[in-house]
Amino acid sequence: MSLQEEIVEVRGAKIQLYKGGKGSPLLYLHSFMGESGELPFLELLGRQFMLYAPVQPGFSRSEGLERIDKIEDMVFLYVDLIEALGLEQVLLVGSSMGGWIAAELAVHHPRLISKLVLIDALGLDLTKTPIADIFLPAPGELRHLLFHDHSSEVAVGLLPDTLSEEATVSLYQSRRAAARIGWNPYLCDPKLEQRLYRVTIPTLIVWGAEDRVVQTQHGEAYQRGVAGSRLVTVKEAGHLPALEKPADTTRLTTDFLKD
Amino acid sequence: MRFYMFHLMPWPYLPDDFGDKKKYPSAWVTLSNGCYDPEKGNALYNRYLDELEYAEKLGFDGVCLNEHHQNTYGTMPAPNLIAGMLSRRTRELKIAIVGNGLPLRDHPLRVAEEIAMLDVVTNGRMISGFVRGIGCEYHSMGINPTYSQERFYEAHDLIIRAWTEIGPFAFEGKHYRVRYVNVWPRPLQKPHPPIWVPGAGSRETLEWCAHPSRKYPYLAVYTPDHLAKMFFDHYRGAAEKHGYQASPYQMGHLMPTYIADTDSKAEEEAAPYMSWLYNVGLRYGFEYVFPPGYISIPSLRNILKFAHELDWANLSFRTLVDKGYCLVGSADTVRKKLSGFIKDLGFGLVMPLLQIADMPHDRTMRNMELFATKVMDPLREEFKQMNDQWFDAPRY
Repeated sequence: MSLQEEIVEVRGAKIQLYKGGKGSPLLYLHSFMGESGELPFLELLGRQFMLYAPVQPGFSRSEGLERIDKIEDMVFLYVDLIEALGLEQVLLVGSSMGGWIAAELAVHHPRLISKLVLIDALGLDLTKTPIADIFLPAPGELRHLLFHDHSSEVAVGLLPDTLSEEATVSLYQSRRAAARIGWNPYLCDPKLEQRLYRVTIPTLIVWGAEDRVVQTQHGEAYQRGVAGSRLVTVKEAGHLPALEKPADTTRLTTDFLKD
Repeated sequence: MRFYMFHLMPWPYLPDDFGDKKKYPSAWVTLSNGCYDPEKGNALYNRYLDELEYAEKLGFDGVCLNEHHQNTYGTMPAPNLIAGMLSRRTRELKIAIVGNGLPLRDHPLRVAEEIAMLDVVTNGRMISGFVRGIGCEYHSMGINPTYSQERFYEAHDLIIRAWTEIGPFAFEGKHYRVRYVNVWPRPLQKPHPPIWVPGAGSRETLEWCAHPSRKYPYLAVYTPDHLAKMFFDHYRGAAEKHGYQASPYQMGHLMPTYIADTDSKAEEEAAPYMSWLYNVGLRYGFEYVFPPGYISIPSLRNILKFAHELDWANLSFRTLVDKGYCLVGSADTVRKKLSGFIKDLGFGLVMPLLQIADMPHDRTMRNMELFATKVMDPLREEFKQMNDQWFDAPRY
């Protein structure tokens, strides 16, 4: 199956959206790398669900970054988007920065979500295992940080050592959008952990076993915070298991959501 | 023609293997302050202050100080402190801070207060530069670079109002909100100390400076002469659009300068200093100096076009001299080159940097003396008509 690109207007801002498949509606929120479009992970999900994969403000051609100052602005945006799509409840899957947004959305609006999957989610303020700096590294260094196998095709494709002018602008744009909500406090909401008790929906936490950006301790803290949740790891994957191990990550996600 | 001697107060004592760029990718942000030795620092700060004070004896109009954080390029994170030290040891010298990094401060009223204090103590000798700080500073200070531009403009507006309106009044901005703006002391200069703005050629900033409500001098730093010309032309064009002709005193050019008895001796002696300044002091990666959101996407695209010319860490000494990034030669050569630049580029604020890298004190003093007596004094004579022509324009 292939995903269709469309533009959705959310309170006057044009948001790019990839959409496709059939079944229960599933909303996927991407990482700070802005992965979207024709990706194996998204196509696999699209075979089982009606997939909605929005591009977040400031990434690619999505507008509205100037309205985003804090994580709560992201929560409002996705409440508005879910409404704009005419959906009452969604299966929510978020990776990295998208995982952080998904967790916040679940804390504030648990009734909008039937099941939640957090993949290597940022968002927790753990002083003993701080989140690694994603803003200072050069592209090649960032690749080493993000991927378990940094010489793999997907890793080098996403972040070669030398970037074209277009790719330089695109990476700058992605990090700008992440910095907007995550420069300080650093990619986290210091109050999120104490609010996780509000998440009462079935929750699966998926973690790349070799994640060097946000270590497994963060997955464990999410698991402790959300009653009844389960933590599973993806072997030989770093911060972006959906990109590095799409088959394993889709299987874990789908099994849980279909269950 | 006005002459302001720049001083960076660099930290030249680095590990012997600092040439290894893999081991030391940057002179900013991540270079450990373990490289700093306070004992040596004591001698160095006091020596640098002596050099700044000596500028008054040599007849410079003023000195330029600036703010940079956590690096080896310049150990002056608090230029207002240095200005305070100079304020009572000088009598005529203007003290230009170019400038205070407004978005880096928790509160801009601290800048308004400090500059106003200095202005009153010095009887109006302060020039108050405003900057955003270079990108590295946002990593070092934890300030969100995506708000850098809007914090700068808002802080600027608050400071100008605090200096020019009788308080108390309320200020309600996005980043700064104060119920009672009522800055004591008020600055001595009217309407307020002159504002100078150094920059890297952003069109937005050039046009903002040239606006008739501001007419802030724009300072080109470390640019080859053809880029500085491009910036100044853009400034003059913006002024013309507003129906006025920009004065040369609205444009300044910072140039690292070294003078010796002959051209060949000057080049031989200057090579390690200039190479250190550009290749070591300004060594940092793209992500260091352009943190996310620090510049707009159109500005980024524009900068990527001439990125190779501002890739200071990789420029050879030959390029630095030939393209006009710095001035090196006998006094005669430097005077002629500078005179040519002034004529071609049309700027009236000359800002030589005369202490560079590990240039020792005696050599620095001699460089200053040669510049003052054999370049500055003759150029004042040569460009005498500039003062007459722009008699009514602010001349600082």
